[in-house]
Amino acid sequence: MKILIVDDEVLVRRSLERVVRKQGHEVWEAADGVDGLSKWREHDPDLVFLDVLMPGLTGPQVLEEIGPSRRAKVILMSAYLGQEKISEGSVLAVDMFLPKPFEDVFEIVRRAEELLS
Amino acid sequence: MAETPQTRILWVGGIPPTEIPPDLQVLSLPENGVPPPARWPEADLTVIRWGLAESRRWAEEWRRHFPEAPLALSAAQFSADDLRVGINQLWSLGFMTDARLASELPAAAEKAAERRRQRGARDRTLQNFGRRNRELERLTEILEKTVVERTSNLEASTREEKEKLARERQLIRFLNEISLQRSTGDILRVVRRELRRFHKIQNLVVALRDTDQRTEFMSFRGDQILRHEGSDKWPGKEADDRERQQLFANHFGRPFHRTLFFPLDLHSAGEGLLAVEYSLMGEEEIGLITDLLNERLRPVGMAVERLFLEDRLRRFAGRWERTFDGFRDPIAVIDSRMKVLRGNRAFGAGPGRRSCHELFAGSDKPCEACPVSVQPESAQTLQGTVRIDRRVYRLSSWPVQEPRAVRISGRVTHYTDITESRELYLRMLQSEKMSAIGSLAGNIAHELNNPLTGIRSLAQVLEAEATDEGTLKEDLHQIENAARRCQTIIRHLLDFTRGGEGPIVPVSLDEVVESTLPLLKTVLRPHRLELLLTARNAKIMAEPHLLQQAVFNLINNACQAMKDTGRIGVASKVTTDNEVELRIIDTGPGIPEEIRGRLFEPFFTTKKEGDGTGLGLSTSRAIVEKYGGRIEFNSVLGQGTEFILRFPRREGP
Repeated sequence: MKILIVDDEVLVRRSLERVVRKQGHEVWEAADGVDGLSKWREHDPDLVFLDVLMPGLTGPQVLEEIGPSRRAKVILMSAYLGQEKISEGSVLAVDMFLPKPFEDVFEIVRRAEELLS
Repeated sequence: MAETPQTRILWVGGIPPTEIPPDLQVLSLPENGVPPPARWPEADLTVIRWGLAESRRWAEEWRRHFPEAPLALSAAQFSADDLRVGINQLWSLGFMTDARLASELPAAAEKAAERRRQRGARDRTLQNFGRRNRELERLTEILEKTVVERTSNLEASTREEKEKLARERQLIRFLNEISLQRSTGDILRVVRRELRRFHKIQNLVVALRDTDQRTEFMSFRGDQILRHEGSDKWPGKEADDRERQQLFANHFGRPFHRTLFFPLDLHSAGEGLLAVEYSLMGEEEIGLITDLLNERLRPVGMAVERLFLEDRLRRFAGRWERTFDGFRDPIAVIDSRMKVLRGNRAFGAGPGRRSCHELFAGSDKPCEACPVSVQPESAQTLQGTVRIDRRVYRLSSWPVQEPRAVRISGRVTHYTDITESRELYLRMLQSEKMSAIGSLAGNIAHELNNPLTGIRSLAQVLEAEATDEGTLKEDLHQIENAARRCQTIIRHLLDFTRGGEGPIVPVSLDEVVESTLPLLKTVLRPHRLELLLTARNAKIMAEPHLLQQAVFNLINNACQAMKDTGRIGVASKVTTDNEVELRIIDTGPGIPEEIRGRLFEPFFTTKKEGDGTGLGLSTSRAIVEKYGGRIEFNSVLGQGTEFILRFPRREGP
């Protein structure tokens, strides 16, 4: 599967990327919303790990740009979930909410694979 | 007096001269026909023949009778003795010898004439004197009469003066008496006493009208004064006696015939009318009474006016007093030394000249931060805030200064109780602070979560990839643990700051305590914590985050109370009354007596205003009481303090 990781925290990207790659998937990374959007358009991933608060475009803004007719599954990650108000449109278009911090990174990837199947 | 042209000579004895000059006239008395000298005719010159038997006798006797008349002696010759006698005893002015008669006689006559002239002059003078004397006497008489008159006038006027003096003394006595009277009735009594001696006066009544148009009639019954209100039309200033009679007649319901009326001018205070009823009196007596009363009208009027004005002033003063006292805020009028001249009821009153802090704050020292105590004589308006007992006052103090005076004569200080509004302000400040901290903490927490998530996740990944050789796997495990612990702390912190927003649920107090303790690690570190939680399964109804804040606050206080190392005891149990009880004990210095009452005061803190972000015990108590609990404390100075929370236990699962 093609998986895109969009998060500004380097250790989060590295850890997720390692586990996802271990499972045999193709992985791309982006450190901000703008790069994330361009890579999304470029590589057409099957699943996107999307952080909310990022420099450039935020997670919800990236979703808006991609539009509701996207193909990929989206996992929205945030430390701010529950605190921030996320606009209605984006909420409906997300496939999974993942609050940070992660308890177990392997568990997360497993649940992502479930989404893809 | 015209001189007679001829000089008359009386020749006594002897032979008269034969040749007689034409201006002489001689009358002779023969020797033997000489009458007694007393009967000799008057002449300008008497010549007595000397040497005859009777000569000496005639001369002496004649001289006795006519001591002043000119005398000459005639003889054939004169001895020295004759001359001596003649001159010394007889005062003869000439000694004519026969031989020389022709020449000596005219000489003697001339002398006599001269004498006569002198005597005439002298007589005239005497006459003049006599006349003058008489005149003098007459004048003296007149003077005496005048003196007598004047004296009697003087006596009369002295009498008059005395009478006047007596009258004036009486008037002064009257004035003094009048000025001492404190009621209109007493004034009337004094007037009646003045008229005592006029027996024909039957009655004395007075009508007084004040500025509110109320008329009062006063009359005597014996010694008692009766007062009645009347509403009759008051006669104007130009009214005649008939109208005045009508006023009294209408009121008393009987005619007032023989009455004297005396209007009283009370100026701005009103008007009065004095009525004196009399039975048959003569003109003179009427005149006396009228004079007497007219003299006294003005002082009586002034005395009544004064009483009316005093009464009005009293009423106004009363109204002002009531307004001043009714004013809700404390106000005090103080002098430049902060001694209270006048305070309203809200301020408090007291005897003597006490200072404002004595009366209002009950202290002999000025209130802390009082701007007036710093510069009481300032001519500026001073403002400040003082704390007295449990109340906070904002004060404004205005100077009172006479125009053109250099120093102020005092101040008016107004206090506004701002305790409640200040509380509200502080509460707001606190809550804003809290929310600022909350969002700050929230922000930091989230910022920290990101890298921590990364650390933990990567550590997990590396741990999974690491071989069992060496300590790498174990080390990575520890790294992951550490990261997890960080996240726990952050989670607790976030929970803590978000307290109160959740629903009330059954919670275990023990669990709340346990979740709070990690947040207190730093303050707990210097002390020994003794934990004994035995109420794990007992539930109470509360919102856990808010309850956590209260517990946090109490344990935090306990830690901060102990400067050096101490012991913190946290113990929970279920009481026999089925309450869940939590005790927090410290071994600090204890709570001083004077602040024990204030401990739960909102925002009471021993720290400076604005310092510290503690909730304060008042909020902790509010939280405890919100969930049906109670909070109390025991403290022993030098030993420590114990706070006890009790909550009703929730029945059921």
